[in-house]
Amino acid sequence: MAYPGSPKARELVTSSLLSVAALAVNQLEGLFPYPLPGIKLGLANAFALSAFSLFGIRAAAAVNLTRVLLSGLLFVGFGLAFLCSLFGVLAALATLCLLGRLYPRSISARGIAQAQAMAFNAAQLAVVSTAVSSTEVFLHYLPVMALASLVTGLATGTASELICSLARRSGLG
Amino acid sequence: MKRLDLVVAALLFALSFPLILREMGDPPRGALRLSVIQGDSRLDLPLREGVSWTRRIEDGTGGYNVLEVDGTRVRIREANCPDLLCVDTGWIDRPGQTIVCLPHRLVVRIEGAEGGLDGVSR
Repeated sequence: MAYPGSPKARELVTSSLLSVAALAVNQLEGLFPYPLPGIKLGLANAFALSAFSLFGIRAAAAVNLTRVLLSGLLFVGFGLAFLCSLFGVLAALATLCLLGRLYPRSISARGIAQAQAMAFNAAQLAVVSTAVSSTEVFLHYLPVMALASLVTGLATGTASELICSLARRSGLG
Repeated sequence: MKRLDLVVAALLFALSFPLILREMGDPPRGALRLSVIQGDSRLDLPLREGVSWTRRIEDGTGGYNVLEVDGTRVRIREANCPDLLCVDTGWIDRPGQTIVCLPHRLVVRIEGAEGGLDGVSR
């Protein structure tokens, strides 16, 4: 089943839905306690990754950047937290550019999500380390982030597969 | 499971190896030191078994963190930063472990004696 209207319009509508869903989920995530400071599930990226598998890299970039900008505008302001997520998202998008070409032939959404989680965390960590001007912090936390990305990437990759099939079934894809 | 999935997972696992070494290694021998960095100022103090103290660290713009040292373990007991990640970090007691309070530009880190596992994981 597909809704009427041009594919372009469908892409715009679905991308917008994915963006606000990512924004909401991102805020919700902040309410849960996490075992280690600075570690989050990063479910927001699952929506961008879905946009990528449904429409391509431009839609993914749109969803992620819209989410970060809206989050800055509505919640966190344009301080260090904003810079952290902006650079994190840019790194995740760069990773998607690189690995996205190989999707879905030789890499799955989970593999991409794990690599993206690592890129996101590393970029964020680089911003933090620069802010406190300490490379020690960066090197200390990097292994922690790698282990965390392994787990969170698996979760967000799986989530994006679910979102995709849901979107396709309801004609939004 | 695709071919590159395995590569990604293996790379991430390899990257996390220093963490596993760090957490499962023997407790450190030799004297521990505490390094406190705030903005441009840096403090370096010895950590000794049985010596406990607390200290309030001001960031000059109304922010503070209360540093608590209990023998060879250290934590931020209290702070007025918005996220309180420094407080949530809890106690640290191994060389290389770090507490960061980003809003107040504060880094608290335990330094070990030379060599050993810390030398590897750094």
